[in-house]
Amino acid sequence: MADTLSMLNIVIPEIIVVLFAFLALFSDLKGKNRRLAGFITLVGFILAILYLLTLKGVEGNLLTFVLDSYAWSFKMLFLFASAIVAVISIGYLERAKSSVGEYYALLMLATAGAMFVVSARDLITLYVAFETASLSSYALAAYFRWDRRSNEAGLKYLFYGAFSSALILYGLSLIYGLTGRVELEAISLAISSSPVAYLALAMLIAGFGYKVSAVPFHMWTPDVYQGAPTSVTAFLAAVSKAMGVAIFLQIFVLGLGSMIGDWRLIIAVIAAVTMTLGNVVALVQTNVKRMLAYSSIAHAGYALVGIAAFNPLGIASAIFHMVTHALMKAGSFAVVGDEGESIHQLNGLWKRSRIAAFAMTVFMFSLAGFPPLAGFWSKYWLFWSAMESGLWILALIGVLNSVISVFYYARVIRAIYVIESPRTLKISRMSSAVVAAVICMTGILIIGVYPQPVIATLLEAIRAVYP
Amino acid sequence: MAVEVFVKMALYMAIALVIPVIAFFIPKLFTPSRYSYLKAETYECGEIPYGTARVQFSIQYYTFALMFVIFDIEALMMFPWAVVVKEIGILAVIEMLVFIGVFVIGLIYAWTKGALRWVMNYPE
Amino acid sequence: MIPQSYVLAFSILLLSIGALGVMTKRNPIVMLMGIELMLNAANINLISFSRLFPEGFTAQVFALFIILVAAAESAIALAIVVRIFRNHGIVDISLFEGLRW
Repeated sequence: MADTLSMLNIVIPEIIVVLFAFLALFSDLKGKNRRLAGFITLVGFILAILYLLTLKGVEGNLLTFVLDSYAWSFKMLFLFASAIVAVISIGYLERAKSSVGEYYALLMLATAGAMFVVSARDLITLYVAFETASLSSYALAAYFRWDRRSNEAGLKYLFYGAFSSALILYGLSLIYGLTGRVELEAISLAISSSPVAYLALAMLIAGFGYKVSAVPFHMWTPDVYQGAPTSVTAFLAAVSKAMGVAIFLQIFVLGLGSMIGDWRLIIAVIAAVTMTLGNVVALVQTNVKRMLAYSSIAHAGYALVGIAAFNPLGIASAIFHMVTHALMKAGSFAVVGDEGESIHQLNGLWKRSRIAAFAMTVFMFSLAGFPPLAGFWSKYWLFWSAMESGLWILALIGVLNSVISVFYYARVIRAIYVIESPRTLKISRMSSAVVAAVICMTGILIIGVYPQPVIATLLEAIRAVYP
Repeated sequence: MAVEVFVKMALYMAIALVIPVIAFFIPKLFTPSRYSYLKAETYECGEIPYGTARVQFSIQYYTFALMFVIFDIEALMMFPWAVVVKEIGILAVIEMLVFIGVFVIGLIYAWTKGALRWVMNYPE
Repeated sequence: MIPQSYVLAFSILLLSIGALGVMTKRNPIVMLMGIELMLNAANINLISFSRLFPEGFTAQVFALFIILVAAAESAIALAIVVRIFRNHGIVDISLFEGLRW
């Protein structure tokens, strides 16, 4: 017990986040001090980030809660992305018709759940943690409760999410039946190919396919991303998607890594179809939120390329891709939340706000994968790792998709610079969304110019999960 | 062994089904039968029934029901805890206190939001 | 003792019935019931497997956690459904046409 308590410091970031969630919950009961709740949330995230920085390089476990460099990297990503979402929310929630304490509390609890996910090394902790994060995000998606589209998004998200959870649970129960263990490492030693294992694998691929919105299971993504409040959409794209990839890594690489021969081809095919469909359907969208949702589907496909490659570089760059994707999507949803979600509402943005227009341009170029930006490096390494594993067809499909995606990102850039708009009033006020966009843009530029430290950290980090 | 258990169970269920039927028919042999209007009415705890059976509940009822479900089910968590509390000792007690503390916070939140008051005028 | 394969057949049947209910019904409450059936299929599996591995209570505790989370999940679903009822006056999934491409 004594040594259990001595390791208590590794959960302190999570404890900080949960405590500040309660604080935020009670700070805005009447809807009169909305900004206060937002700033409490921001302070909570920053304190947690600072404490997490002191834990760099610390390895240890508290019963089944493990802190290693893999969990550390993901936690940093979640906290940073959630802090950006909190910044976006401070301005975006001005339009809320009720108190916003619950919103920030749910945001922090969802982040805490995601942080527990990456520290979980057994099935029970993993399940409870990802349900904590998912349940909070369902409520967040339906948060604008006077808005029918938000209701609809929340209910759709909940039903697809609950359905996929049920499939995942059935798969997990079969894995427990085959091995008698719930610890992921013990499972990877005990499991072997058998018909029941294939059934479990099918259930898990379908269930986690829903979570990361891979193609046959992607239908909920555009609806939910479009209907949810835009700040919540930023959270879903930045944090929930990264959490989905983290669970994918933990279950498939750490838990079922010994069955790689059985699932590699399926994941590779899903990755190819996901990239292609996401990019092709995004071409015809006129709603920017919906377009970015399809782009988000395509990016899940890119991350799956790294998992299918199944070598250290592939897995590290899948995580790296989630980092850059979080920055790009959080930033672009920040601008979209400020300007409006139809592509016409972005017309002439250059005339109105130089900073927002420039940031949006950086996000679009980075999403398309243009060289000096962060999005280029993550794709480059993903496709390189696929080539290393001999999946050169997958790499080729990925490159072709990057070319297709240029077309719809270019439409946004055209709207910003070329098309004239009757709204020419210059925005002098610095909104919180612009602050968030500038932070994201800075991150993308820094990672884009100097990506080596990040990928080196991640290559070090994935030793904890790569067998 | 297995079949015996099932035979016993089946026998038990058969007897259990027969007893209430018998209990209904024995009084028929002894009681006088007189018809009255009141006897034909739906029994509602002695109250005189009025209105139709399809009554719309207040939406408040569902708020209460939802909160009841949450607080009720989460108490379930104490059963596995009670099994191991002796082995783990004081740490388990602290953990349960934290767990209950979170629920108290939830309760306080619901209270301050006025969700526990029955009569409430929604601004609609 | 009931053979393990019978339990597995039963649970997969339960899972299929639940999944069919979710996919074909248009009433969110009934869809929620389908999801509960699917979760209980996993519970039945876990409980029956716990006979195979008698040491410890792992599977039973897992099942308890599933019940807990399912309760929280249905509470959130019902809260959203109540909200939809207040906005639309009716609860039917096929009303949901606000989000289309």
